[in-house]
Amino acid sequence: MKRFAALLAAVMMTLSCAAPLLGPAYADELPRVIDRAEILSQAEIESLEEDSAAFRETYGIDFVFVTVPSYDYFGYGSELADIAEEIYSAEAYGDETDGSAAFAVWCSDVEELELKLFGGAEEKISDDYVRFVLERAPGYYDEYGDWGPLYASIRFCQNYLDDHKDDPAPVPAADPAEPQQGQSPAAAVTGGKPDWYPEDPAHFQFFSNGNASRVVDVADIFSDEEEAKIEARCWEIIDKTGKDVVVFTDVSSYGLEQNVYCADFYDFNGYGFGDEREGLCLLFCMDPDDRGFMTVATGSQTRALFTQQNSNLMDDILYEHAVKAEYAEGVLAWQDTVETLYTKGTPIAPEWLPEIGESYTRVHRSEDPNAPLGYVDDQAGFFYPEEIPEIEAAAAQAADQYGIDIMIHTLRTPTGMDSNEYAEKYYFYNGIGRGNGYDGILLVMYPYADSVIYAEGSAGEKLTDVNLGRMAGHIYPLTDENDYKGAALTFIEDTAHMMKTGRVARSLASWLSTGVLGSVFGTIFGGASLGTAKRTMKTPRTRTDASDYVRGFRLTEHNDNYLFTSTSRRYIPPQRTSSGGGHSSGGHSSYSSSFHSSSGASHSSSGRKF
Amino acid sequence: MSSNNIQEQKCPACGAPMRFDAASGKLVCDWCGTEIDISQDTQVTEEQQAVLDEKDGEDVSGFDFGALQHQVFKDDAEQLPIYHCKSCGAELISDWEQVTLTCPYCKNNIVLTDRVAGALRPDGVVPFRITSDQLPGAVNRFYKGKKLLSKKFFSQASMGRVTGLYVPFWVFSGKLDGTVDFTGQKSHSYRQGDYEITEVSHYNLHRMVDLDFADLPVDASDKLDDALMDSLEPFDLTDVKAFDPAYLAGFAADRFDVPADDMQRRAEDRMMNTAYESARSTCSGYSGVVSKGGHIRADVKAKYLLLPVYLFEIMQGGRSYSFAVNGQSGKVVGDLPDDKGFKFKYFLVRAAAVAAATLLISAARYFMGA
Repeated sequence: MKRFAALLAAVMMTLSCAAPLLGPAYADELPRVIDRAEILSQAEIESLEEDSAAFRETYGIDFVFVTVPSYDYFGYGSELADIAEEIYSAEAYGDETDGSAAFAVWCSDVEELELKLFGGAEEKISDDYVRFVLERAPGYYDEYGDWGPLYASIRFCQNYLDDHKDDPAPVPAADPAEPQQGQSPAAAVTGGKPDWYPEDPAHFQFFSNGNASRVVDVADIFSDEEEAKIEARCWEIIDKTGKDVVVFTDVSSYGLEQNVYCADFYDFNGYGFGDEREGLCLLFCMDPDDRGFMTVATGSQTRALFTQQNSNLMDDILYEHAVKAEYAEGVLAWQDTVETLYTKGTPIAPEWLPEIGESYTRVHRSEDPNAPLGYVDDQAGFFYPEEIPEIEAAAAQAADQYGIDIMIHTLRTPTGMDSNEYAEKYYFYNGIGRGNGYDGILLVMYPYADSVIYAEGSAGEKLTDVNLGRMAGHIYPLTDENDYKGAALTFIEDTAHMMKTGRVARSLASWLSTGVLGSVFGTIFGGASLGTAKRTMKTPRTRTDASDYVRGFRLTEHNDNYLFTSTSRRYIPPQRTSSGGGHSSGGHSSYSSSFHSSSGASHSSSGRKF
Repeated sequence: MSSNNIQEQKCPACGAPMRFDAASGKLVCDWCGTEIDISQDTQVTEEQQAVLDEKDGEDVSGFDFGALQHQVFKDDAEQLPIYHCKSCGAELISDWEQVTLTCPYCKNNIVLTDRVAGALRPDGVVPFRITSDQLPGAVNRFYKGKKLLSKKFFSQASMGRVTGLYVPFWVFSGKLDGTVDFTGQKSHSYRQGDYEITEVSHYNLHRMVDLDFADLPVDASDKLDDALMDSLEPFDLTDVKAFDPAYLAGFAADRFDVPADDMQRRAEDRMMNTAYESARSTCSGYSGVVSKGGHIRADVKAKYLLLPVYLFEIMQGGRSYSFAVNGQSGKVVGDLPDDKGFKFKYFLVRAAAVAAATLLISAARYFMGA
C-alpha cells in the first residue's frame, strides 16, 4: 500500500509541478468530452473532463474526448480522424497561440480509436508514439468499457510527455510493460525486481519453506486483523488437506504476465507441500494499469482439480467481492472454495456429497435421515408453497402406480459439477429409487441452464434417447417461460405415460410439424420428379456447340497477367463470452491449463481483471 | 422439260420399277424378286473418290451458291417443270426442291437427274440402314422413360404415313485458330483483428487456341426444322457412298434451298462456341472467368451430302405430332403431348406418397418406442 501511495504521489507531483511553457488561453466553456454515441456515464464524463483540464494545464495541449456511433462513422463515409478534424475546425479548441490539441475519437461499435493531433501537439508527440497509443489503448475496452480506451490514451500521452519533457526532438517511447526483444522475462524485471527473485531463475533449486507466512500483502490491501484471519484460514486448510494455500498482493507484476509472476512468487519462496509442491497461490495485482487477480495451481493433484469449470466458479466468487473492493471478504470466500475443492473435488459442494476418499454405502432414502423427503426438493424456491402439494400428489400417484421413485429437485447455486454429473450424484447420494434396482427418475431444474432428467432401474431402461428428447422437448419450453410447476407436472405425466406404454407421448404440435415436414419433402420430391420427367418430353433441341466434331485441340500460347488487387473487409463483432463454466457472475476468466514459470516449472492458472 | 432429264430404276428382268432396300442395301424388284447389288455398279471408283476428295478441299466460299440460288428463284418465277414418265408417258409435275418422283400411274420410281447434275450433284449419299418396318420398334423404345406420356396416348395414337427422305446437308470440316481473352480472379481471406479481410487479385487470361473440326452436318433444307435435324445427330459419315441415283429409288429426296451465308454462319457459330469453351476450360484455378472476346479465324470447307431421315406424324386427339428418325441409327426425336392435368396428377401422386411415407415412418417409430 505504501508503494502504491508513493507512486500516486509521484504522479500528482508531476502533474502539479510541471508548468506550461507559454501562457496559453483556451475556450474553457467548451466541453472536452463529446459523447455523441451516448455511451459514457455522467461520472465517466466528469472524470475525463477533469483529466483533460489537468492535462491542458500541465502540458499545454487541449485534450478532447469524442465518442461516435457507428452510423456517424460509416454513414458519412468518413474516418475517425475526419470527425476530429471537423470538430477542431468548427469549434475553438486548442491553445490560442499554437492551436495545440489532441482528439481521442472512439467508436465503440467497431472498437476503433483515433488519436489526432493538431497545432503544436504534433511537434510534442511523435507519430510513432501515436501509433503505439492506437495499438494499445483499445485493449482497455474489455476491462474498463468505453471509458478505458479514452482514459488510456490520455494516460499514455501523459507518460510520454513526462518522459520527453527535456528532449529536443520527440522519440517514440517503449511500452514500460513490454519486455524488450531479445531479453528473457526475468531480465525484463532487472532493476525493479523484488528481493526474492533469484539471480538465475532458470537454474533455481526448489526448496520447501513450511514456516513461511502464507499471506504476503505487499499492496497493503488487508488490515492487520484481516491478514491474521486469512493467514489462520490458510493454515487450517493446509492442516486439513496437506496442500498449500498462499495469498500474495503486489502493486505490479514487473512486466511479467500475472500468472508467471504469481507462479514465480510461489516457486522462488519455497511454497508447496510434497514432491510436487502441491498448492494454490492467489495473487492480487493492484497495478492501476493492470489490476486483477490470478490463481496459480501447482502439482498434479491440484492441477487436476483446478479445471476451467472449477476455476471459473472460484473466480466468480472472488470477482463479486473484488469489484466492490472487499478484498479480505473475497479471499476468505475463495479460501472456502479452495477447501471444498480439495475435500470434495468441486469448489461449491452440497452437504450430501461425501468428501474425496470418504466411504459411503448406498441406502434408500427412507433409511437415510438426512435424505430429502417427499417428491419435491425445491432448494431454488421455484414453486409457491401452495403448488408443492399438488405436484407431490401427482408424483405420488404415478410413483405408486408404476413402482418407481419420482423426484423433482431445483437448484439455484452453481456447483463445479456439470449438470448431468450433479443429477447422477444427487440421485446416488440421496438414496433415490425403489427396490434393488433403485428404480426411479429425477428432474433437476436450474435457473441458468437446461433441466436434466436422470433415471435408473426400470425407469432408466425406458428412458431411451428418443424418450429423453421428447420429454426435454415438453419441459424446456415451460422452464424457459419460468413455468416450473407446469414443467414438473408435465414431467410426471410423461413419466407415467412412458412407464405405461414405453414411450413418451408426442404432442399435437409435434405431429403437425411432422406433417408439415412431410408435405415439404413431398413438394420438393414431386417438383423434382416432374422437372426431370418434363425434360425427357422435349427432345428436339437446337445444338449450339460442335464439341462432338472436334478432332484436335491445341493450346498454342497462354499468358496469365496480373492486373490489380481489390480488398474488402467485413466487420466481425467480438464475442464476449465467459471462458469458464455455464454460469458467470461477471467479467471473464483467462484460463491456462499449462504454462511455465520463470523457473521452468509447469502450472495452471485462472484470473480476471477488475 | 423432256424425258431426257429423268432416270428410271427398272428391273432388267421384268421391267417393273425397282426400289432401294435399306435392309439388304440392294435394288429390289418387288414383282420378280430380282436384286441388284448397287455396290457392283456404284462402288466409289477412283475417279469418284477423286471428285469427293476434291470437294473435301473445296472452300464453301468457292461454291457458286449465288448462281444456284439465282437459278432456283428464276425457275420459281416461271411455271413448274413438267417431266414425262418413260414407262407410261404420263406428264409429271414436281416441286423445285424435289429430286425424286413416283409416277402415280405406273408407280415407276423416277430420279430427276437435272436436279442432281453438275453443281447440284451431291458429293455423296449415306444410304438408309433401317427399314420402315423397324420404325414402330424404334418409336416404342423412344416412348420408354417418358413418364408424362399418358396411357391414353398409347391407346389412341396412330402413326401416319412414313416418308423416307434423303435430306440435303452441308457437312463442314476445317480449322479454327486465334486468340481469346478472359478475366479471372483469385481470392483469399484472412482475419485481422475484428475484420475479415478479403483480397481479390484480378488477372487477364490470354489464350491462343487451334482446333480441328470434321464432319459437322448442317441441314440445307428450309422446310425442315433445324432443331429437329440437329437432334438427329450423330450420323456415321464413314458410311458415305459416292452419289448414285439408285440409292434414291423408292425414297423422297430434296435438294438444298438455304442461302449459303446462313449455313456457313450456323456451322461457324457452333464451332466458335466450342472454341471459346475449350479455351475457357484451360483457365483452371480462377474463379469468375468471363470472356472479354477475342479473334478467331475460321477456315472451313463443305461437302454436299444426302442423309437418310424418316419423317412421320402421330395423330392423337385431333392433333398431330411430328417425328423424325435418323435413317441410319434409328434415333427418334419429336415433341410429345403436354397434358397439364396429367402433369398435375403426376406431381400430386409423388408429393402425397412422400408426405404419407414421412408420416408413416414417424408413426411407426413412435409406436415402436424408437
